[in-house]
Amino acid sequence: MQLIEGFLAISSMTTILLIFIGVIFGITFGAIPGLSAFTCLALMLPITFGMEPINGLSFLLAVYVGGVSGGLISAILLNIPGTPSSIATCFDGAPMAARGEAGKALGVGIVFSFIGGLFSAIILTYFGPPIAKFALRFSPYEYFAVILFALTTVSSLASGNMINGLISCLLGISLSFVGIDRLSSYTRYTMGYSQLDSGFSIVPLLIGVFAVAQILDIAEGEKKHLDLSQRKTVKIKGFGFSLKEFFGQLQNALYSGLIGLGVGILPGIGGNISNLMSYAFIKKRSKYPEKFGTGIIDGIVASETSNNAAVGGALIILLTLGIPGDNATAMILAGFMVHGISPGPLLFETSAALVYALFAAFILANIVMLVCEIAGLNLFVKLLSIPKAILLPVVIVFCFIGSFSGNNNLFDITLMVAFGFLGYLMKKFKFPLSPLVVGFILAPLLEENLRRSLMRSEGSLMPILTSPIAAVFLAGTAFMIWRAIVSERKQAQKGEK
Amino acid sequence: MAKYRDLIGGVFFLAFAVFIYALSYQIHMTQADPVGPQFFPRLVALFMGVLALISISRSVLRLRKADPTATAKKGSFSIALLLTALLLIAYTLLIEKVGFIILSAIYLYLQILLISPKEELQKHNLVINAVVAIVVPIALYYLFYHAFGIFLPAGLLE
Repeated sequence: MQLIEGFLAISSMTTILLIFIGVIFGITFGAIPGLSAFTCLALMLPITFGMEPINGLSFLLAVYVGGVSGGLISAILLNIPGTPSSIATCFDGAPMAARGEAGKALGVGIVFSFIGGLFSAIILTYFGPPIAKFALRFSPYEYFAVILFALTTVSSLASGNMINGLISCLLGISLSFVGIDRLSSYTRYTMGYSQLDSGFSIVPLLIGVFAVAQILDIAEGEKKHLDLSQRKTVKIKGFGFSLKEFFGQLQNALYSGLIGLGVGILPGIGGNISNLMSYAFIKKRSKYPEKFGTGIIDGIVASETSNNAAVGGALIILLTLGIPGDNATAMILAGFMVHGISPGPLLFETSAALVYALFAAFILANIVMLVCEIAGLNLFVKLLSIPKAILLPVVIVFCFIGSFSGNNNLFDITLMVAFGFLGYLMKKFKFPLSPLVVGFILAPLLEENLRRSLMRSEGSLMPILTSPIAAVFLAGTAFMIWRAIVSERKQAQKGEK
Repeated sequence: MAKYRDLIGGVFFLAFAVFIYALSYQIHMTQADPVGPQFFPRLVALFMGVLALISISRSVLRLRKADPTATAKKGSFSIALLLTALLLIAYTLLIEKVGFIILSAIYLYLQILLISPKEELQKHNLVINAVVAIVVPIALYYLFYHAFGIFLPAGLLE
């Protein structure tokens, strides 16, 4: 019922049009190798500043949905994944295209992207509110444990090296110290600069660390010319595959969808890994694993269903707990903050109408994605030939605007560039960047809840350990660290042999 | 350079942890909560210091084990990287004086030039680059001004 109201809330021409535009931009950026949903979100964020919250946020969700899905186009046609979420789509998509079955491969990829996205949207709509209700009962003890768990997950899974992941996360946390301490209302770590009194803004930090660092990286690297001479127009009849094939894949789709959803919910991994995990799983339980990699639709179904399902999973923890799992969801969180909205369990109480409108926008974005990709496929193929060397600098100019217009402050442009250098150096020294950003975003919550916990318990840590929910998450934290140490040891042994 | 990567990273973050801890003494103390505003930064600094020490000791062990005669690959120096960095710094320094439109046009043209592959640098591409560099900033300036009410710095064109 509330979902219907949600659909009514987004039924204005402006909102629907924005969702269309968002999806189309997302697909385009997703399809161009080297650019991703995040790049497109960074580009689009400043545009949303002046919009109504519901329009701006629906637009960003649409960009995200399109961005994750668009990668399949270049994965199948060029054998280059457009985004890391569609690496596994290459495995079977490219051989099919080489055999002249590009239309069928694209049809399968697009339809099962839609199914994965829709599946996760339904789960989000029906499980989001009860999760939020449950989280609303969290005291500072539980909240502290949940955030600690999220931070260790991001740090240990974001790269192979847990120590570097944790250090990166702690650096992000340290960056959040700058500015006013929320509990004592005195400033910390501002070094006397009044411009730092309100702390680092999230937008310049996020854009700098990822987008500016990327352009530095590209300037340094070998500049490759993407050869598109083999590019051709593709014809799809209907969806390109038969109903029998569709029903034959539903079981695979269900498993892939569940894997994507589960991986999406865990912070730090998201669509980038879900497609590979799901591909490996479906291959393992298949009756004909030897055919994987030769160009069968099972492989495309596995990859594309799971990466789009991961989007809904990531939105579940973003909306219900306010925890962003990766750079793209951090960007969407920044979009919320710019409009003065903070996602979390309270949001479901105070702005239920907005939440359901966003659910509706998410579902609609998936439908629009299906329609646009089927109908406009050849247009997107043409867009692939826009050189990245032109697009990326344009993105940076948008980033300048985004950093500036968040607070109408030129100092934020300087910060963005400084964080860009930081991000570049961190990457060079093999420190993963997602833990830094997620650490920065969650640190105030972590600190506040820890200190509030200690206030409540008058300095004792025991209540955190004896609360059952907190204990589960603390055990989870210990497990993540143990798991990371074991897998690192194994790799080190392999390296010695 | 690659050989000492973890060592350099470890030493840097050890120093950073000491810095965070040292600066925590400047924080104004209050009695609002039992642990106060110094507690959490110090906790974070301690954890970071310990992790940095682990990282340093691990890389020292690895360096000892490694074959000392093996020569490290020479790091290549990228001029395009340096110029991009300078371009970005120049942008932050000049934006207030020069303004968004002119500075962004210059930035775009040079940046596209810097990261384009050689194959894409024929004459007609250079013209396209120039058109992009001029049209994009002007269009954005007016788009943000009229559609979103965001006034970007006008600088020289004021």
